[in-house]
Amino acid sequence: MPLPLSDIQGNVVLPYSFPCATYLLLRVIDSQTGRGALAKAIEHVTHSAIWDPANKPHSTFNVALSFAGLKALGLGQEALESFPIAFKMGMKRRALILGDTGASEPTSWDPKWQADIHAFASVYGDSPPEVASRVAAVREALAGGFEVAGEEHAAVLRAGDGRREHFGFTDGISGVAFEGVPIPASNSAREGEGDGKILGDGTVKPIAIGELLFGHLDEAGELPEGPLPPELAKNGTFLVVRKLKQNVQLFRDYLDREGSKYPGGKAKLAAKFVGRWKDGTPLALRPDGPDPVLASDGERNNDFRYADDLDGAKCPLGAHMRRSRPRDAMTVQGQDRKPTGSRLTDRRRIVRRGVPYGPWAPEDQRITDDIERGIFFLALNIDIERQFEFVQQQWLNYGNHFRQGNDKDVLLGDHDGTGKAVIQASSSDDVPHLCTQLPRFVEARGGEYFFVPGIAALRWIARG
Amino acid sequence: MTPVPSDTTAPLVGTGGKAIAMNLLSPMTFWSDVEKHVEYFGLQHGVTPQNVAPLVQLSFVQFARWVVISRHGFPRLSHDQPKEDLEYDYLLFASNYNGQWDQYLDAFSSVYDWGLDGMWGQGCLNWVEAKYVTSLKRYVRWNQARRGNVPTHYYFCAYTDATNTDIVAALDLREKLGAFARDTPADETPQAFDVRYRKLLRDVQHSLGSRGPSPVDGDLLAQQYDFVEPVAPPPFDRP
Amino acid sequence: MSNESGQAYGLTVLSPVRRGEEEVLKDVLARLPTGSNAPFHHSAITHTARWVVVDALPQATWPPDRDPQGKGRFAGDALKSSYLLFDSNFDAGEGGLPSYLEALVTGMPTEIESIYTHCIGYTGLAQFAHYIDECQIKTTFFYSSYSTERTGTVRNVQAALRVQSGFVDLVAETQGRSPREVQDRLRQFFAVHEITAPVAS
Repeated sequence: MPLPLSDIQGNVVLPYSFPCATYLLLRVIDSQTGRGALAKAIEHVTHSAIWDPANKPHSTFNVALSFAGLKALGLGQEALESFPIAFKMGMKRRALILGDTGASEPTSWDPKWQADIHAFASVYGDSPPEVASRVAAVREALAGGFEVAGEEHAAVLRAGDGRREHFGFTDGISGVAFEGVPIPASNSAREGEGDGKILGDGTVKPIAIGELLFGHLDEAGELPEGPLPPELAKNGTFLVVRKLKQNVQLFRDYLDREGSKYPGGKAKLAAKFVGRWKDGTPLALRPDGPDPVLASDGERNNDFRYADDLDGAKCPLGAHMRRSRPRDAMTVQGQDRKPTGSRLTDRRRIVRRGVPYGPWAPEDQRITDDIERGIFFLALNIDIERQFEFVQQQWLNYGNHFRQGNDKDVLLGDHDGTGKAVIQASSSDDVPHLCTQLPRFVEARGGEYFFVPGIAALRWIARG
Repeated sequence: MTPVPSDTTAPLVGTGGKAIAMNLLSPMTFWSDVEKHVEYFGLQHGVTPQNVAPLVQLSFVQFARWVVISRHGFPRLSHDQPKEDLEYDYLLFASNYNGQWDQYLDAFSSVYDWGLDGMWGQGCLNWVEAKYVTSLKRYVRWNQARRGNVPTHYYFCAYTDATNTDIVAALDLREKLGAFARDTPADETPQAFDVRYRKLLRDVQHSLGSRGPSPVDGDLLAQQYDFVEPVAPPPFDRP
Repeated sequence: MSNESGQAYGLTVLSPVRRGEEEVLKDVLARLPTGSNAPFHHSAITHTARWVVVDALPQATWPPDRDPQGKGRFAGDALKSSYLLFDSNFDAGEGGLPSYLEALVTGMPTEIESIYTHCIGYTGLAQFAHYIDECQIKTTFFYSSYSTERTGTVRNVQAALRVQSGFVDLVAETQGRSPREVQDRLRQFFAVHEITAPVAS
């Protein structure tokens, strides 16, 4: 059964590939004018579609609503109560679960993110003028019903040979392959290639779309329990937004220091932190050095396993990529003693749509970390607690599942300067290497949980 | 503007450090009482085909027990104590596990559903196949020691900051260090020592995690802000 | 004996609670110290223990208002008394259960008394072992992760955890140092922690 793409907002099942973005943080003025403005704005909302170069729009517009926003729009009590707890609490109240402590505490967030955000409007486009023009149209449509409490700008970083994030690593390689999502002809990756779930026999299959969208069966074979009534939930999902500041100079200094102590050298140590070499070559396939041909091959650069590397010799057990998506590293002996592949992790996948912000700093340029640069981490999932929060709390900020005790992810952990990471021995001549006194490389500067309604659901909300 | 919890004194982790208690009482029909005795006997002695390998590999269960309590099995110690008149036998399940309630059941539902079906499936009322995780969770919530959500009234674990995985790793490390010490020759040269020590480090590299407190429990945090999920009943079997 | 798994013993006890004293008993349990002040630490052989006051049994069949044919009047068993469940996983050692109960009576007499005084049939600390015997329910299947071996006792686990923390510090501090320095440091470490051989030898 094909997915009803015209009822799903854009950038949910099929990723946008625009280079520029502006995000508007909105507050409802009052419920009646708010709903009126929403009704007008719906005409501009971009839905999922496969574009060919001839009919691709120059810009897009999408909108998501927080719990405070749904309440401010006058959503009925029963519907409000039917939303899940993490969404109702909002991201600031979940700080202790997310590790938003110390420098990442909500009280230290960017002021525009400290107030309650009611709606998150995202505009993507081919160029800054296209984005600006669409933003102006959106502001006009929403005027009278919503006020703009803040505006954020983001842009894909093109440095050297490809898309990067600020620490210098190639970004945008991994995705999630879902059943029923059509693959555009322009995309060279075959469906399910490395991006799906890994079965016990090593083959890869797409994930049930109910892990992302309401109204469809999930990996447990059930219809996920969603907000009520069903027309509100249908084809909707939850969006996690986090403005993450990256302390780039701090990271470079730490790598310089530790890289000189690590027998494999600085570049290898950096790869061991992440799970890929800077150009995107996965350690699981090339533990000894980057392979630019493999790295740029969309069909192969994400097609690998961990079950043959349970000791972490190729890719450390605590590497960032392995923590965020353990694949078949957690295979166990299942029914009839058959291995379970990635089954334990299949319901913890998140769809990432993040875009960097702030100026790119070439490696040879010394910078100060008081300049704001980082990433707008955007992730879509159907269950904030089971998916995003679980990965954040149990896999990134904790190590028990990977035999790393309480040790946290080098890159994203909420470090306090006393933590460490173990890099397992790469060979029988090597020894495990400890990287100690880890500083906080990434700090939260803002964020919130939003609901991304389907198009019909948006109309339902606007009707009141 | 940063929200403040209404109750800042409530604990954010349980009293067992990183270990959590679960108690489940499941009503069973009569014949399953007999069957279960036979089945568990087989399991204990490695006779039955189903295995407990996932319990070991998942590594977050420290201790667990299944106890069949017949309808006449509730101890009566005085004539003044009224005699119980029960329709069903009960299967008591008591476990000590690490992590959170949801993740514990998510894991078992996804890779050990067949094991759970084997232990509860025959004869426990209202059981739905464990692969359907939502109904599994409803079943467990409903049958936890009494109707509705229940706290264990007192819980003790001897280890405040160690999970089962930490313990297994520490015990393994201790044995390997012991063997290293025992095998150290008198007057060993630093060079010879270095070769042995490097091998030791490789052998114990999975026991080098630093320990710390348990991650905050999401349900307890939510309660601090007065967010409590109501307990829904499982789908009931027909009588 | 299915109560045991290797050297670990899984004890399950159900004791009827005196009518009207259920809430008082729950208060006693609520006030019992936990964490590092827990009285179980005195005897140092209990891995985990719990007390649960079971007041009611779970509802079993259709609740009356949902029963389509009006037959399911019976909505579940009702207990006429409450029962105190005691579940303990401990090191059986040489003396097994009797010696464990003796250790509890010696290590935490006030606490045992303050709890069991609310239970029907309890006649005092001197008869505690006999009382537990009357109330014990045989464990049908017992699973234990690490205590199957002799090495997995509470004392050994606690010692191993201390050694582990110390060893991680040592590895971090001696990383990159000369073999002679590391050799000396490790020798000192073994001396401090009295490590000369594996525990299971």
